[in-house]
Amino acid sequence: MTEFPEEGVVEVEIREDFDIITARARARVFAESLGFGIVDQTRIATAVSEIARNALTHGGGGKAIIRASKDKKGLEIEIVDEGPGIPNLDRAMERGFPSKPGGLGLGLAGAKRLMDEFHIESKPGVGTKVTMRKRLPSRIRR
Amino acid sequence: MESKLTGAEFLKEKRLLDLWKELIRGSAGRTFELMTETQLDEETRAFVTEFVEAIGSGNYEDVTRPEYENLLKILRGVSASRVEQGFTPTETAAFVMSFKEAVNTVFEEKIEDPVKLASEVLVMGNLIDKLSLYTFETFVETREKILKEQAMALEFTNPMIMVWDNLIAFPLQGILDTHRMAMFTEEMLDAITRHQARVVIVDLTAIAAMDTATCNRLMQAIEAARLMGSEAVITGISPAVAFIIVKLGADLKARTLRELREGIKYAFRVLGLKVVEESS
Amino acid sequence: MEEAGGASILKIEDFLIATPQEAMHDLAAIQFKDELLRRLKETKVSGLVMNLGRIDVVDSFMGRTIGEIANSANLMGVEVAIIGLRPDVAITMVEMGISLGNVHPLLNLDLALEFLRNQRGGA
Repeated sequence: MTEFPEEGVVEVEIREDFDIITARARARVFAESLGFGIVDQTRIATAVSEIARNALTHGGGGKAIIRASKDKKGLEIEIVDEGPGIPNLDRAMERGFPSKPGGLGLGLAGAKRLMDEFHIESKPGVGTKVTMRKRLPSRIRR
Repeated sequence: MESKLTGAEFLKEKRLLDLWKELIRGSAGRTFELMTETQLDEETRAFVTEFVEAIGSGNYEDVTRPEYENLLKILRGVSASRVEQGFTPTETAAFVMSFKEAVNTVFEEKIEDPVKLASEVLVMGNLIDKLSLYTFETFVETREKILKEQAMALEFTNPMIMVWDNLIAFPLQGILDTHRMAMFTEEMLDAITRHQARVVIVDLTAIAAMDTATCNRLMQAIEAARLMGSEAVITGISPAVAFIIVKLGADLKARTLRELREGIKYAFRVLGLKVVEESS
Repeated sequence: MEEAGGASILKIEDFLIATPQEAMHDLAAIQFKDELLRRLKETKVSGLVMNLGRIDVVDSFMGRTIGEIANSANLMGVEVAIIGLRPDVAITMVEMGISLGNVHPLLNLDLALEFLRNQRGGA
């Protein structure tokens, strides 16, 4: 396994099932190297898992980019695909949006709850980009 | 802006530094024993270097200008270390006040012209007084900040009572906000694993109030415990806290009992335990 | 003992104990489910324990899969207990709003087996 220095950027192609596992494992390791605790690591890995799966099953595949945030006080993850885009983005984000099994609703809303910042851009026919950020908890003492 | 200070030259000499250190050692009480020779050496040397640099700009009045930033930084460091080492504010101010005395002495020794001497002593005196005031203020600010942090840190610990095998209790105290509740959740779930606690009693007797966000977090904690196979029992809900829960329309999904003792009695029943009086 | 999509399935008394090993990609999860349900039918056991101790992420897909296992098992008259959920996973699941369906969470294997015995013998 390669090292993930703070300065680095990690990119994971999402073309098949197993890539979702790779993306979230790398996100976890990266988060750990930045100093995130285990619960935050799991939140981040789970959010990546949700969005990466969307990119694969609805977006026809894409890419996950993991990097430290600009001020080095957190993590930033971008997941893009060039799929058909998400129509009715607002409805899709609603918790419990009734959809067929494997539908988008729960994944997007859930991932948003786990992260501090969550932005989604989607253009029908062009693709979807999700940007998520999580801040390192500020230290209380020391 | 004054004309160039002739005395400035003499500040660079070793005499000033030695004199100053002597004065510091001779001044305030036994607490100076806490400081090592090295620390004193480093601090005085750094200060003089930056001081000379700063007055080299020709600005002897305004310490808020950028040329004084490095010097102020050193004074902040001095303040901070004094707080940590337990010095009094006066003892801390002595650091800069004795510098003034040392400067005066050096000027008296080296400046011949009495008029020049008087005016330069005055200018330096005013400047150093301002630095002294800055040190004092920073000291007080820093000390207050640290005391507050220590108080907060105490509020963050959540002592756990190992009531019985597989039964733990957390009597929570202080102010409960979402951040603290999140930290408590992790502690509680780790404790459940560590002690294989089938029942966890969360006692809120000492909690006066809770906002809706924190209440939501509490419900999440209860649910997370349930997913791990542990039953959370909430005791000691005050009227104020009860009001928030009702207002939220929330279902805590946990048994709620009046006080910790009732929680323990309930837990014993769940665990199949009975308390029996010893026959005499 | 059998392997199924990266999980071990043991039979103890009248029950099956399934332990997924680490992260399963979606296809493996589906294979696990199919294999498990097949074994439940074959062995005619009355209870199933799923040990989630080695799972580091439960996302909505895994949540759904576990829910489907539980539903199908119930239809076969099999009660389902889960054990071993990690604290960080439990917190994340709750924050996300993921439900596992009709499963009974127990603290450890002993308690899970005791529970299943009571379910079977009871009422």
